[in-house]
Amino acid sequence: MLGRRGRMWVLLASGALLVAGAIPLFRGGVAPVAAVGASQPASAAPGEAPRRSRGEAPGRTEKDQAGELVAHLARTAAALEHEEETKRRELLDVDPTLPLEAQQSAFLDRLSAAGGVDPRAPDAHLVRSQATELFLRLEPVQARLAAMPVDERRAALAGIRRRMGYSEEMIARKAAEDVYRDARWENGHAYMKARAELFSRLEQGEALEAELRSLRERYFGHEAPTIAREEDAGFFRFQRRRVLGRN
Amino acid sequence: MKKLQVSGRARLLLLSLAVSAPAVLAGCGLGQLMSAPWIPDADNDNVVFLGDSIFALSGDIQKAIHIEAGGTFRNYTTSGAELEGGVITPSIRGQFELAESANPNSRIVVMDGGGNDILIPTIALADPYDCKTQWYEFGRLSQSCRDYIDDIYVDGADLLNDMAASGVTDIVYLGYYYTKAGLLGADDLDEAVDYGDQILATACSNSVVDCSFVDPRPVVTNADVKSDGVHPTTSGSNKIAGLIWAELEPRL
Repeated sequence: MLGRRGRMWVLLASGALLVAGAIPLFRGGVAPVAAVGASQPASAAPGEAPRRSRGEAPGRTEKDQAGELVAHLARTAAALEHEEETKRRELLDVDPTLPLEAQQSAFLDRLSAAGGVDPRAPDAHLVRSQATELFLRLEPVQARLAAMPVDERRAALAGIRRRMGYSEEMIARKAAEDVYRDARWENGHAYMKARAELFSRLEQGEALEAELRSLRERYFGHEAPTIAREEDAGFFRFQRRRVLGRN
Repeated sequence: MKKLQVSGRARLLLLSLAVSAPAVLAGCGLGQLMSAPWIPDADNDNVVFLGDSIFALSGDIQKAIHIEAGGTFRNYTTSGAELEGGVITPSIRGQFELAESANPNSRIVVMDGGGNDILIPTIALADPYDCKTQWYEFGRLSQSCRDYIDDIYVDGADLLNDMAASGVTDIVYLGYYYTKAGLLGADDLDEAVDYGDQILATACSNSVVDCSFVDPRPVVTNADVKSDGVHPTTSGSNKIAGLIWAELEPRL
C-alpha cells in the first residue's frame, strides 16, 4: 500500500497529466515537479528540480506533454534511485577475500565517513549495537562465520564485538545469547524436518492437523500457538535468513 | 527549499542533549540520563511500563496515565532502547529482566519497542537498509527494509512469549506514529512506520499473551511531534496516554 508520500506523488502525477501545459510549472522544491520539452530534455542534478524547457515544439498536444512529464519523472526517479543504491553498495561492499578483522576495519572506516559517527568511539554507545548488527548482516561476513567450526566462530564473534568497543561483560552476555540462538535454530530445523516428514506421510485433514499441533507443542512448548499462527500466514521463521551473531 | 543538513554525529548529540535535568540524577546508564526516572516501587506494582524515548524522554505519557489511574505504576522505560540490542542502554528485554528481578509480580506490561531498531541505523548509519522512502521510490518500501523489519517481528513475538512464560497475562503494546522532518532527520519514514506497525501488531496478535496493539497513527499529527521530528509534544503525549488508558483501564 502506498504511504502518505507515495499517495502524494500519485496525486501530483495525476494532476500533472490533467493540467500539463496549462499552469506555470514549479521551479525549485525538493522534487522534480516540472514539465520538459521532448526536443530539449531538461537536465538537473540529482535531487534538483528539472527546469522547464523554453520553446515548446509546435503541434504537440497536452497529452504529449503530459506523457513527457511522466517519462521525465520516471527517468529522474530511476537515476536518483540508482545513485542512492550505488552509494549504499559502496558503503556495504566488503572484500570477501580479506580476513574478518580487515573487513571490519574497512567497513567501519567507510561507515564513519558516510554516517559521521565512528561506532568504535568511546561515546558512540547509541550506534554500537546497530553498527555491529549491520556488519554481521553482510554476506561475506556471514559466509566466513558460517564456514567456521563452532568454537572458532564464537571466538570470531567475540573478536568482532571487542573491536567494536563492547565491554568484556557484554561480550560474555552476547556469547550466551549466541549459544541460546544456535539451540533455537537447531531445534527449529529439526522441527521443520519432522514437519516435512509428516506432510509426506499424511494427507491434508484432521489427522495431519492433530499431528502438527502435537509436533509444535513438543518442539516449542508454550510458543506453539505462535508458530501455528505464523505458518497459517505463510511465514516460516526457520526458513528465513540466519544471521550468525544476530538472530 | 534546501533541507536542513545535520550530520550523523550532530544528530546523536542532539539526541543526547535532549536531557531533562531531573533525569540526570536518576540512573547510571546513558539511556537513563535521557529518561524520566525509573519507578521500581509504585502504588500498583502489577503494572510495569517498558519502552523507549517515546515514553521515557519527557515521561509525560506515564504522568497523564498516573493522573487517570489515581496512582503510579512501575516504570523502566529508557531512551535509546532497542528491542534486543543496545550496549549501555537496557534493551526492552533488559528492562523486563530488571523489572522481574526487582519484583517478579508483573502482571500487566505497557510497552513500545522496535522503533529505535529502525531509527538508529536510518539516521545515524546512512540508512543501510533503505528504510527511508524518498519521493522517487513512489511509496514503495524497499525489500531490504522489509526483511530487516521481519527480524524485528521475531524478536518482538519471542519477547512477548517470554513475558507470558514469566507470568505476564496482559500487554498493551503502543505502536509508532509518523515521524516528521526535523532535527533528527527522521523524515521519509512513513512507509517504514506503516510496515513496522503492521509487524508489531502481528507480533502482538500472534503471541500467546493477551496483547492489545494501540495504533497512534490516526490521532497523532505533525503538530503533536516535537521539532526533533520524533518525540511527542505534551499534546501528543496526552493523546497517546488516552489511547493507552482506554486499553489499560479494563485490565486493571
